[in-house]
Amino acid sequence: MEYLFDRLLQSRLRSGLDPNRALDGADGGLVMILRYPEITIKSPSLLKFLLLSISAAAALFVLAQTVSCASTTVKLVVGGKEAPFEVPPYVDGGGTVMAPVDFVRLLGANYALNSGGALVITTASGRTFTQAFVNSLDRMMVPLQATSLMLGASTYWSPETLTFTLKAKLEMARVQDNTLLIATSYPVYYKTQTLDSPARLVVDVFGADLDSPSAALPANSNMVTHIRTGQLDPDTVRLVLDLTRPIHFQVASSLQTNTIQLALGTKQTNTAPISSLAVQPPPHTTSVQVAAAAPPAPEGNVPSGLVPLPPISKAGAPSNGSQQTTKIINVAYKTDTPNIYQIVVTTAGPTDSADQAYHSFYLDHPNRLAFDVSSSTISIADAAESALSSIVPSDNNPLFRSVRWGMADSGQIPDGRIVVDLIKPVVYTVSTENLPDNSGVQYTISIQQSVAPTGPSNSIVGKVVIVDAGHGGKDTGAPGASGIYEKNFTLSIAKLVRDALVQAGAQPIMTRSDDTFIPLGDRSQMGIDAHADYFISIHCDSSGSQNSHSGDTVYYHGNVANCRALAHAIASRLSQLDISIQSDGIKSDYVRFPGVGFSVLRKSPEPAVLVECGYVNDDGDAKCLQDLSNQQEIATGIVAGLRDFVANQ
Amino acid sequence: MFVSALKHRSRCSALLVVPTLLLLAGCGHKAVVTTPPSPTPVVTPVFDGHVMIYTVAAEGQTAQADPNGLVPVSIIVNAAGKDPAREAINALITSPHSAIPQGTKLLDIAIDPSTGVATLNFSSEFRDNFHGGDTSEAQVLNSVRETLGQFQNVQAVQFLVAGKKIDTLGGTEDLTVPLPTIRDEKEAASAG
Repeated sequence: MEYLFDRLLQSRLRSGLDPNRALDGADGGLVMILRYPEITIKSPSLLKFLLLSISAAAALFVLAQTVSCASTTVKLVVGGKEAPFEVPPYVDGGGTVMAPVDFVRLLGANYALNSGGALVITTASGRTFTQAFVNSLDRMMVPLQATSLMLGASTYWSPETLTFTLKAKLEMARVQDNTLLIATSYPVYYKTQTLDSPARLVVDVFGADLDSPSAALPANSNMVTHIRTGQLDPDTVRLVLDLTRPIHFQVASSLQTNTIQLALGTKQTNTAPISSLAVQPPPHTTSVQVAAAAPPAPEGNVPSGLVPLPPISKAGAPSNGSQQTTKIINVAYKTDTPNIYQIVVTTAGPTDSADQAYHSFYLDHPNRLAFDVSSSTISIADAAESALSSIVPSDNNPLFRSVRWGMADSGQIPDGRIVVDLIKPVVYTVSTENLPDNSGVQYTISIQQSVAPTGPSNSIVGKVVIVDAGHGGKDTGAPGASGIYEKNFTLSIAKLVRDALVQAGAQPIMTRSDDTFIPLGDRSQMGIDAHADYFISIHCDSSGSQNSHSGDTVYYHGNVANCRALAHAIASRLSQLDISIQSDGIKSDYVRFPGVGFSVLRKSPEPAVLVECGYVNDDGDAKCLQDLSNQQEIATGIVAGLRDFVANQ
Repeated sequence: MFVSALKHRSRCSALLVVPTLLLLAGCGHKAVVTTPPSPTPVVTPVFDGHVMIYTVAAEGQTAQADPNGLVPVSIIVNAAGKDPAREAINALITSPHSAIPQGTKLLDIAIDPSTGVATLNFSSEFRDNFHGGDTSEAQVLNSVRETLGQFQNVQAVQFLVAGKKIDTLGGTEDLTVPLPTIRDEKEAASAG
C-alpha cells in the first residue's frame, strides 16, 4: 500500500513510462528537478540523522570556501519570502553564515536554553538537538547551514546575491486506507483544488522541494489511479492525483503541517473527520468539505510560502459571454446558530457538478479565507449599482471583520472569489445545495472558532495570550545602568515568555516583536480584537535616583478579582526563582495611578496583569536582568504562574 | 444611538456644573473646609495664597510619602494672581524637589467650566527632559493630577506639549485622553 518516492522512479522505469513526463501540460508548466535519487525515505532515522550531519559538515566546508567577506549580511528566504530579522544573518570571519536562532520557528521548530545554558532546539516533530551558538548584538546566533540541515531543510546558497534559500523536502506521498498522506521535512502551507475532465485532485505544497525525481506511480486505490509529482515552480511542489471518478475529499490536517492528510471519499458520502482538527458539519449539511485553518504561528514567523492573493478587480466584471455562464448573484451573511457564522453564496447557471465547481483555501498575512467559484462571474444586482463589494457583519462577530468579493485572475479563466477577512483561526465547512429546477447553487460557508488546539478548560492549551513587550521605538523606557534601554529588556523577556507559551501549547500574540512604537491604546485593542483569554504586559521599572528601589512587582488592574488572582499566581512563582531580584509581591495599578491604573490594563480583556521585572536603575537588578538565563527564569516563572492560575480556575 | 449618547452626556455635565456654581455663589466671605469630610466637599475655599503641591520626597521624608514617593508640601503663592491653578502648577514646576522634568515651563492653562477639564500646555522640555522610568512617569503625572485635585472645579487634566497632544510620556499612561485629578481626602480632611 505504501508508495514511496525512492521506489517511484524504479516502478516508473519498470513500467516503461517516460520518467521525465511526470505531469502533463494541463497541470501547469512544470520544471523537473532531479535530486537525491538515492536517499531512501524508509531508512532508519539514525542513518538519516547521520547523513544530514555529514552533509551539514560538507556544506559548511563548501560555504567556507565560497564566502570570505566577514560581516557581510545575508538574506534568508523561506517559503519563497525573505525572512524578516531585527539582526540579519551575517557571514562571520571564518566564512560561516550565522543567523539569529529565531529563524528555526520558520521551520516549525522552537528553541530554549536549558538549565546548563545550552541551546536546545526542538523540531516540529518533537526531536531535540543541542546547537552551539555565539552571542552577537544580544542575539543567539547559530550556523545557518548546519542548523537548517538538522531541521530537514534543503539549502541553497547564492554567493552572487548573498541569499540563502531553505525549502522543505517532500519526503513521501501515498494513498493509504483512502487517505492521501503527504509528508514534508518541516511544516509547510499547501492548497488543494479539484479539476474536471479528467477528474483530478491537485495539492500544491509551498516552499518545498521534491526529495526524489518527478514521477508518476500507480496508486493502489479504487479511487486514485496515479499520483504524479513535479516542481511547479522553484518554490512549489505540485501533486496531481488521477482519479477514477469525481471524488469528494476532506482536509484532515491543519493548513500548515508536516503531514498533509486528505480523506478521500466517493461523492454522496460524508467521510467522518479523521482527526480532532476537523469539525462536525452542521446537521443540515448535505455534502461537506472541511478544512482547518492553521493555528497561528508566532507572529511574524509564519512560513509564508502562500501565493499572494491575486489582484481582485471590482465586482460586476462583465461576462465575456462564452462558456462562463455561472454567475454569483448573491452573497449574504447570517447567524442562525450560536457561534456559527454563515456566508451564503448563491449562483445561477449550470449545476452539473456543484461540489466540484469551487475551491476554498486559507491565506495568511493577513489571515483570510478565500472561496472561488470556478469559471464564474459576479453579478450581484445591488452591488453593481452601489459599487458595493463587501459586507461588514453588523453584529460583534468575533471571527471575521468583513466579507469581500471580486474577480481572481489566477487561471486562464478568472473565477469569482469571496474573501473573508479573519480575525482569528477558524474552521469552516462548505455545504452545497442545488436550487430548484437546477437554476443555480447555494453554497453555505459555515465558520466557527478553531477547535484545533483547545485542551481542557483548566489548561492553557489553545488559550490566546497577549504578550505585551512594554515601550518600543521612540518610547525607549528607562535607560539601564549599562546603556541598554528598558524597551530592550522588555522585548527580550517577552519573546521568552512567548516561547514558553508556545511550548505549553498556548497561542501567544505579541503586541510588538521588534523595536516599534505601538500606542498604548493599540496594545489593548489587539487583545480585544483577538478575544484574548489573558493579557500579560512585560515592563521593567526605574525610579528617579540610582539604586533607590529594587525588586519585581506584579500589578493587577483596579480591584478586579481575577486580575488579582493571576498577579498573585505569577508573583508566587517569581518569588521562588533563584535569581538575585527580590520579589515585591503584588499591587493594584491604582497604587501607581490612582483611579485609572495602567492604560494597557484598563482597556484589555481580563484577566490582565503588568509585570515590572525589576529596576533597571538598580545596579543589582540591572546586572541580573542583563543575563539571558535570568530573563529565561523570569519568563518561565511568569508562564508557570499563568498555568497555576488557569489550573485553579 | 450615538447622538442620543452625546445628549445624555451633556445633560450629565450640566447637572454637575450647577451645584458647583451655587456653592461658589454661596460663600462670599473667607471659608475653609469644615467637617465632616466627604468625597464631595460642601464648601469651596476662597483662594488666600495657600496651595498644596506634591513633590518627590527628599531623604528622610520617605515615611510620609505616598507609594509613588510623593509628599504634599504647603506653600504660599501670589494670591493677587487670582488664578490658583496656574500659580500652583508654576510653584510645582519650580520646586527643588519637583518630579516635573527640568526646564519645563507652563505655557498655558485653561479650565473648561462645563467639563472640568484643565488643559495644561507645557513646553517641550516636559517631554525632552524626561529620562524615562515607570515610577518616574507616575511621579510626574500624579504630582500634577494631585496638585490640581485640590481645586474642586478641576475634574481632569489634559496634558499638551508645545500645544499638541502626545501619545505618552513614559510608556505606561495614555496621554491622548484627559486623566482624572486625584483628590487627597486626607489633606481635605485635615485642612479644617
